[in-house]
Amino acid sequence: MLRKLKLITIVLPLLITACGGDSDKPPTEKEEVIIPNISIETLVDIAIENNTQVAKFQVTRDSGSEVLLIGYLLSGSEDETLGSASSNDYQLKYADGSDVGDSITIKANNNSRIIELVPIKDEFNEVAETLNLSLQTSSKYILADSKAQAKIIDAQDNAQNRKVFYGTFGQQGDALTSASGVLSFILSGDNSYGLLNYSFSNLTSEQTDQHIHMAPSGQSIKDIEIKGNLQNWLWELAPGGIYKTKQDMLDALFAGVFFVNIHTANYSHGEISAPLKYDETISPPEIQPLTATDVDRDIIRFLNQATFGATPKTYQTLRAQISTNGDNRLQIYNQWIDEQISIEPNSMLEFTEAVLEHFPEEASSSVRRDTFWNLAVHGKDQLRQRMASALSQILVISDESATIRKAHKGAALYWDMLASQAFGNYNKLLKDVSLTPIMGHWLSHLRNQKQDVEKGYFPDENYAREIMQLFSFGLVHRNQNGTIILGEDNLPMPTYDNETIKNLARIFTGLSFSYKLKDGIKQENYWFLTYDNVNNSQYRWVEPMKFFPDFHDFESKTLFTDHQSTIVLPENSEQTAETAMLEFEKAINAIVAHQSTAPFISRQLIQRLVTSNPSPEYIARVASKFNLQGDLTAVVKAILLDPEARNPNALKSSTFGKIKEPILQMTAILRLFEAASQVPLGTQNNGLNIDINEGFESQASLLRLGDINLGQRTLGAESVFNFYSPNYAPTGELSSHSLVSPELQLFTESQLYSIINQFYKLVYSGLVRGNSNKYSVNTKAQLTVQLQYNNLNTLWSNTSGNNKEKAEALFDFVDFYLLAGQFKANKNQKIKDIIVNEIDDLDESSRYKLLIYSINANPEFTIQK
Amino acid sequence: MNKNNQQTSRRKFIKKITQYSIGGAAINAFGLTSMLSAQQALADEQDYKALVYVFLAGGNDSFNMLAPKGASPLRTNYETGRRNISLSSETLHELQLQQTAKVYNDLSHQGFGLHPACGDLADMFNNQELAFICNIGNLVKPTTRQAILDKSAELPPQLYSHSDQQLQFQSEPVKPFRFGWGGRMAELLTDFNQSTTVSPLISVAGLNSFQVSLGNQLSTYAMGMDGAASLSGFNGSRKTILNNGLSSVDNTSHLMIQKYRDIFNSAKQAEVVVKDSFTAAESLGVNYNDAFEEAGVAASKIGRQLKSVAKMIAGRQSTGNNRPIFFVKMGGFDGHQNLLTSHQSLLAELNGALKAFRNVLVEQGDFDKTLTFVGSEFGRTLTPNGDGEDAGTGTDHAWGGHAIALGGMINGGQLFGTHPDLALNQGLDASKGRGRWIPTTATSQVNSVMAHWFGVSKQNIPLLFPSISNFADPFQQQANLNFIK
Repeated sequence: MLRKLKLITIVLPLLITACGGDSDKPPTEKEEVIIPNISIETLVDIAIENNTQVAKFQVTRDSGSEVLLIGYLLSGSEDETLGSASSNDYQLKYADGSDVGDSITIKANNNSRIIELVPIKDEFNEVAETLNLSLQTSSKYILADSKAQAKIIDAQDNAQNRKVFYGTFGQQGDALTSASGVLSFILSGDNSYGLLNYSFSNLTSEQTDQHIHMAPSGQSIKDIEIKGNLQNWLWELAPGGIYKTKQDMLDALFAGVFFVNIHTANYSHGEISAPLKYDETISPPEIQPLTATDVDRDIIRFLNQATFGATPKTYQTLRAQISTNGDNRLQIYNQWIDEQISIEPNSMLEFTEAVLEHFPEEASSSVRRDTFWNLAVHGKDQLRQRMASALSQILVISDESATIRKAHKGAALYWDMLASQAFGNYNKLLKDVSLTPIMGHWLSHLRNQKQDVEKGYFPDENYAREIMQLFSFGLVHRNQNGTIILGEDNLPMPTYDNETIKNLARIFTGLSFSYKLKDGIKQENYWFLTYDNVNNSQYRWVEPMKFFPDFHDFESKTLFTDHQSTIVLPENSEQTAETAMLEFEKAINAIVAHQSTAPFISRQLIQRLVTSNPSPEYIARVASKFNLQGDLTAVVKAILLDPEARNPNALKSSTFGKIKEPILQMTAILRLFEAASQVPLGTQNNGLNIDINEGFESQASLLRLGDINLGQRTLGAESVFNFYSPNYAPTGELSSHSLVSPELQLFTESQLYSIINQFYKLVYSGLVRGNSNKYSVNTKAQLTVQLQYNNLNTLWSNTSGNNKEKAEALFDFVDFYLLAGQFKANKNQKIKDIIVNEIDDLDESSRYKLLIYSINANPEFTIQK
Repeated sequence: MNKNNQQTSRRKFIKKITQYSIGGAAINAFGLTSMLSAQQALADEQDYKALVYVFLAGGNDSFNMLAPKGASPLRTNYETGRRNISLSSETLHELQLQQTAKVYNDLSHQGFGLHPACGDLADMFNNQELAFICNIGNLVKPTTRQAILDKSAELPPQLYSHSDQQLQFQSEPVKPFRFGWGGRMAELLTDFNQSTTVSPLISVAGLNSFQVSLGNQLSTYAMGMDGAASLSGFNGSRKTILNNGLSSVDNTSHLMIQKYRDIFNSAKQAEVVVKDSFTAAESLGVNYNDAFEEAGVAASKIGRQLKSVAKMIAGRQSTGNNRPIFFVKMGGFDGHQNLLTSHQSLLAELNGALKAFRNVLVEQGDFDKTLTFVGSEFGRTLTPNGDGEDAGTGTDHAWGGHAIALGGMINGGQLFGTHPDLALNQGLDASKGRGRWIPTTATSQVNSVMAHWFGVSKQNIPLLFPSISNFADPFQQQANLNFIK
């Protein structure tokens, strides 16, 4: 998709004085000269050596008709571990075949020019090589978009272009063993990854570990997490051992340096090993098309990543559009995402206010908290709200703060801000978030005034610290793939120090409420120190803060340094609210454009939607879409459509995926089993008559679950550090494999029990906010949220055969929707047999209750792969 | 205190437990084991110690917890720095120091008082059961203001950031993080901890860095703040299915599922042990509910946590662990705004909870065996944020702060370490006038003293604190850390 170019026209008044003899016009005081805006974009971002496909850039101007020369610079990948194109890899030509010289020429009367990146075919095996084309500044024009990027690859990744490496297992060293086996490694056509397969038998003792090593030193290159035989295990050739770049790895692979070995109890250094040797004579296998079952499972996986839980209806909608072998699935998913983006967002604030009319005496914070369940379970804007949920765990505020709890309108509006900008740009979102009085209160930059050393007071540093540490680029410099950049001393390089914090803190001085309640009406606020109390109107909490110039520090500020460039905001002589705001915007622009921000934020969004441990390549692919502004539409598409997210083998992996957040585990059950109270939202009998604007499912009813102890509550973390750390690595196997599992930080012994007990309560007695009936015309029974078993009932009746067969169908149904058929895929029969055996002879209601309780208490159901 | 005359000696308690276990033996096929464990409890009685690590999250403004009292240069510096958040001298609870406190720059000072909400802490101090260790904080090595200003100092990474300073406070200021000192200490003292069902690392406040072990063998057992929960309706088919679900997880299962299974199994095993401990504790005759109710902290989170810890200590014979390490946490100390109001209620709660905890420990006869440490990731700036006009002002993240040590083994009634002179823009101020004190004692030094009391040999201290050699020997007089008898 091409992004619309944003063109800025600046009209510069020029004072022309008589300074030469070439003017026959009388000197005028002012003349307007229009300077064109220039931008560059990539039309085709891949050039391919073996079929001479060219990549294309287009340079465009928005005004002017004279010949225009534009200087440019070429550079390679900023990540030194990746490939960079050099001058013997390509030629730059115009479409007419002529060479591009030292500068790009836009011809007279033309508005644009296309530049082709023509690859030069060579015999080398090369990784993808990046070329960046950056336009140079000049007084003749203004640069809108100055940079474009393309890659050169050896060949497309199709069956024909793949290469096969082969090896047989034999004894390692002096091991006394009769074990044997075979190995193959299929390298992709673009040399970016390969699939490792092997099988072996007759080990002398239990297998304990397995690695890829290099010969002859035996140094370990890559750990393989899976024991036993391996099928289509993805190895992205990330640099390891002595190899510092991906090209080094590729060269070593072709040099036949790598071998796989299997460690056993008897031979802790390895019992058998097999080399990876390139064999041109073996033709690569046909790329296996997906089976219909693979496609079904992928749709469910996609829905569980992108919504609050797959349902028969959402599944069928997608299934109907996707071909049996799934070859158009990415296109359909992409279309689905676009549809989701176009759905009018539901508003937590509007919904809260509508529900409050029916519970006028109740604490507004309780009503506000409960609205999340309706938004998540019945809202049609599923992806948007799921993104809001993910963003709320990065840009954390919490109604654990009593003020934020009381200021429920401000809190609801904060959520709405995350939802309405979930597909906008992160830069704008971060600006808006920073200006909410809710964030101002939470991280104390509200009413934060400039320093006065004489009087001995200093601005609060809280927000300055957290906006860098948590909301943007984090503590240390990172590559685009999220790996840490080491400095000359081989240590991670801090992104800022306390001086930076102090300087940045001064930007956030002078902010206070812009409105307040005065004389019974909403009025603009002119008093900086207006108190942060909460009255019924909450006017001060629902409008962005504004700058009070008298309290803002206009002196010059030196911020952080990123890739040798230090951000300095000069002293401002014009001391107005507007200039303070301009300075604030510049600071946020620089924070979001910091090169570590894209990987830092991208990784966390991947963690919330797809997997706890994305590969560096996955992070880099997503981060490359983030751009300087933080294009969240491009980011969410990159996350959900990435080959790693869509890999059908994920279901069999013992490391891919994530523990479900407890609120997502809850919403998945509520959605699949059509949770309902007896109080419809709409105009039905007993309904609340809320105008739900078609934003909700028509059968939606009020879901007031109350403050259930799941260890997690939307907008309710204990601190700005969220419910868990993105880097939490539980002790044991996970941490020894360098894997993280953030959500497991919630699962202490006591919390785990508490979560299971909440599901017990939901299934066996229903959930309802205590006392909410006292504030309502409805009884407690009417307000209680119960699961419904229509889907299960229909399935039971429609399945032919005996009770056992019917019970098996029920199990397969929940396995399919909650786990994308993980039990079936892994032939995990034992649990199925036990559950089937316990439920098949029960009466209807007990049968479904026991089934749903059992899956929620079963460890296997807590994972999303 | 003890108004119900229910003080039970440790000896009497053991007698009760013995009877209880033998009584059990008569009706129970595993009686022999019960008798053995009862005897073991008697034998081990001589050698039980508990460490209770109370963490105040957010950065306690400890310079308003313990403050100079009475006219003096120190008091003047305090008032100059604190401005509108200084506490008036008259409202402070007076401390009777057994020895004059050391103050930075070879000064000394006698007049100190505690925050108006800390009356009970002052009583415990004056009763010589409680001591303060002044101006401790995370340090890589000793440093100076000059070195910091000219940027030549080697400083703890990410000074003034909550998450990093918490991590370092509970371990050491080195990267990468490998273990918490509580977790590592439990590994060094495994001989004392015989239980195979419940970890000696018990948290009543969730997972934490303090209890992370190095070797991945010992995990923290995180119980609820009121004890071990039960599973609702855990019987019949539900029990069958759930137990089978747990046992079907094997080493080919997803690694996160394996970990989930481990936590679940730990919860099931510990549930039994914790319930036994609570039953045993409640049979002692100590009225836990009354003690915490009287102190006004029955509903407070820290009160509930400490009540559970007291019961685990009293009912210890059911665990078989003689060196348990407890983690307790209280949040809300990040007083950027409304400091005076929020600190008042926080300290009142802390004061009440520690008082009730002390009282029940005395009643159950465990006060001499239980060392309670109270610390926070950093102190706060002496100077407030904003100006004096704003009633809702607060303070910012800083560095050194005061810690509390409480227990029968404490050399109470004294201020240990070195108190800052509270002079801005000079001496110990690491900043340009905000009053961020360079710690005069490293956390590693303080922790070494506690670890040694707990059973770690002096020789093994560097295993816990690799950087300890950068500092003055904590066991020498010069360090002024003789806070344990």
